[in-house]
Parts: sequence; C-alpha cells; structure tokens
Amino acid sequence: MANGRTNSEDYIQPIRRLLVGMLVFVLIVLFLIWRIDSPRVERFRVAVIDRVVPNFEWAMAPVTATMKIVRDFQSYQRIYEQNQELRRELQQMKAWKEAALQLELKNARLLDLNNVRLDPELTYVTGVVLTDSGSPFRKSVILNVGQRDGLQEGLAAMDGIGLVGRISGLGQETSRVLLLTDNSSRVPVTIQPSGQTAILTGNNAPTPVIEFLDKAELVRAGDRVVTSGDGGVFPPDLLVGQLIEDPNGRYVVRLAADFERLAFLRVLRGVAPRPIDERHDVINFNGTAGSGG
Amino acid sequence: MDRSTNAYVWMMRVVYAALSCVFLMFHLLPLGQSSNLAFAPDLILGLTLAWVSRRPEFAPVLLIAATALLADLLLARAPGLWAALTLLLSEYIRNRGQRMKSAGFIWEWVRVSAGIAVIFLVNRIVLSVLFVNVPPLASVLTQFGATVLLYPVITALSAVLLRVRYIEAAETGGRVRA
Repeated sequence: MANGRTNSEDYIQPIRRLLVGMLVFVLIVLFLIWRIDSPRVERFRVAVIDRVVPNFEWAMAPVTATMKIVRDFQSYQRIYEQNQELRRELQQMKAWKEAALQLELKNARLLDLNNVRLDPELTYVTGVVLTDSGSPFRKSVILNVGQRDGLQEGLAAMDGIGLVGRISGLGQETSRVLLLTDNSSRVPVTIQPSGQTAILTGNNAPTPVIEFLDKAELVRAGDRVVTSGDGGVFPPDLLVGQLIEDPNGRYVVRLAADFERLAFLRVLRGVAPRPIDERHDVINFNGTAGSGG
Repeated sequence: MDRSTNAYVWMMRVVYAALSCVFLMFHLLPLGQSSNLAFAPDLILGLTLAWVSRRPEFAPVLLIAATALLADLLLARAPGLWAALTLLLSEYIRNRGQRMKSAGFIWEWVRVSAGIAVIFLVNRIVLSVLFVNVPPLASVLTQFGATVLLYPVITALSAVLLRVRYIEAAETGGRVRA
C-alpha cells in the first residue's frame, strides 16, 4: 500500500512540474502576444468582461448601496457647514441663472436669424456605471451599454456637465470608459477665452495636467477648458473643467464632471475617430493627423 | 466532518474560487475614483499564498492560474504576466509549506513577504523593459505594504473561520474536539 503510494507520487511529481511549466509558459506567451498585438488580446479581454461582469451585478448592487449609505451617514456630520455653503452657492447661482436665461434667449434669436441647423449626428445614449477599474493604477469604469447600442471605440463620454473620458474597449453589452484621469489619457483642449490649445494629460491624480501650452502668460487660473476637436479625437467645445494652478506652479484642470459619483454616463454617438484595428495604423498618420491639419 | 475526504477537498476548492471572486468584486465596486486609491492590497495573492502553504490541495495549480488570469483581465492589468508570477510564487511556497510550518509563523511571513517583493520587482522590471506604462512607484509600494501587512490577517481568518491550518494541527484539533 505504502509502496504503491510512493510509486504514484513518483509519477505525479514530474507531471505536475510539467503542468506548472506549461501553464506559466502559456500565460507568458499570452502576455507577449498582448504586448505585440494588443488590439486582438484586448478584444479577448472585452469579451471576457462582457461575459463575466454583468453576472457580478446582482451581488455588487447591495454592497455598493450599503457602502454609499455609510458614506452618506458620515457626511451628515458636516451637514451644518454644508447647508451654509449651499446657501452661499445658491445666491451666486441665482445670478448665473439670470445671465444664462438671457443668453439662451439671445442665442435662440441669433440661431433663428442665421437659420442654423444643429448637427443631428450628435445623439447620445446613457449608460449605468457597472464597475470601477478595480485598480489604483487604472482609471476607467465599465458601462452597461455596448456595441448593440451603436457605440464605437473612441466616442466621448460625459456626465451631465463635463467630459469624463472616451470609450476604449467595446463589448456586445458592456464598454470600458478610459477616464481623463488615467495615466494614458491625452486629450487636445482649448483654453477659453484666450483660445490657447494644449494637451490634457492624465496622471492618475484627480486633476489632470495641462501640457504643451504655447504661451503660458495668456492663460490664468479660472479659465474654462473645453475640448478643441483637434485630430478628430472628440467633438469640439465639450466642457472639460476649470484651469487651476497647483502648488508647483503647473496648470492643472479641476474637472467639471463629478468623478466621485460617476453613476450615469452619456456617450455621444457622433463622429467617432477611425478605429485602430491593426498595429501599423498607430504609426501611419495619414488617416488621422493628416486630415486633422 | 472528515477533513481529508474528496468531497471536503472539492468543497474547499469551491470556497477558494468563491472567495477570490468576492475579492475581485470588492475591487470592482463602483464607489468613486478616490476610494481605491490609497489602499488596494492584492488580496487574491495573499489568500493563495496562505492556503497553498497550509493545505496545498485546496488551491490546485489550474484553479490558481484561472483566477489570476481572470483578475488580470478584469482589473485591466497586462494579461498573463501577473498571473504567471502569482503561479510561480505559489509553487515556490507550496514546495516549502512543511518546512515553513516547523520554522514558525514569523519566518513564514518574512519568506512570503520576500517572495511578494520579488514578484513585484520582476513585474515592474518586465513591464518597463517592454515599455508598458508602469504605475507610479509610491502607489505600488503602498500596494505591496498593504498586501504584506494583511497576510497575517488572511491566514488568521482562514485558520479560524475555514480551518485552513497546517495538516497535523488540524488533525489533532479535530481529535480534541471529537
């Protein structure tokens, strides 16, 4: 009996070792393929997310709700200060509302005069945020809308007010939104009123950095930052946020969208940039940068 | 219950997979962008190492590989690399499980921490050699620290709640109770 057992263990050990070696090999090959031909493996990843994440939803909903209640409860402790703050803001808002109404009237009149038709291509579809990226190093969320809702890679996602990010990773029923705060996010923006263009660079911090600003003396903290539409990445004139100066003297953007409470996102179904299917499209600028200039 | 029957082992394998899914779910909860910034230990790695040193049969290689790859895919990491490193470290710890038991927990903790440090380092080196965007060092160090600090908690909880202990301890414990 004991003899037979050691015998079988003699067989099992090398086979096990072989199995482990093969598994590690397969995983590393997968990683290398991802590095060489990222779009294909990313499509596989999206397919897996498409299958798995909606199944998690029933379990995640109650936990999320509980956590939110706890967090709301903590905020009750500051309710008096918040009330005061809100009153002050309300006063300011009334003035703004008045101004906005007048501008809206004026705008409507001008549009009427010019007989302008707004671009009917810019429709939107609203999705619910299913999950976070789940890692402190990646800033993205997964939405419950996907290809079947007519989304494409690269479309802009907004919350009610400001730009949030772009679609990057598209499944049948889910899609990943790469947020403006992600390390790899780059968005061409215009700083109003001076009209200076720059690149908004995500750095995993809550406030992305303004880079490649031509004449820094023309902009000031408090300026509005909107998308420029350069390179066909996004439609122009989507609100991004407000310029602020960080302690190091760099210009960063306080985002208009509320990144703490991303619950519903609006994906603009407009003109999507050309999808990158093959690796060489990234290097071949003829289609993208050429047409933008 | 007999703690070595086939059914029990399979049950514990299911428990391992379920726990990994729960940890994964916690990573994915949509709670806003700042909540996961400060503190994000790799709980699946901790759980795997704790179980593999004590009861290796509860966490078979294929299951570890599958969960780690799923985590890679869902958490938007480079697919495969972290899973491969997790697998290698778990094999290393698995082969030293009995020796670590006799050396005591502090020594086990040191060894596991060193292992985790090595795979964090290898991960970072491989990613930077292949020009993948590496995350900032500070947050990686936080993640490493949190994973190492939570390792005793994970071992204690799985020992108390799920009876994942070194094999002799579990057997004598069972006899005393019986």
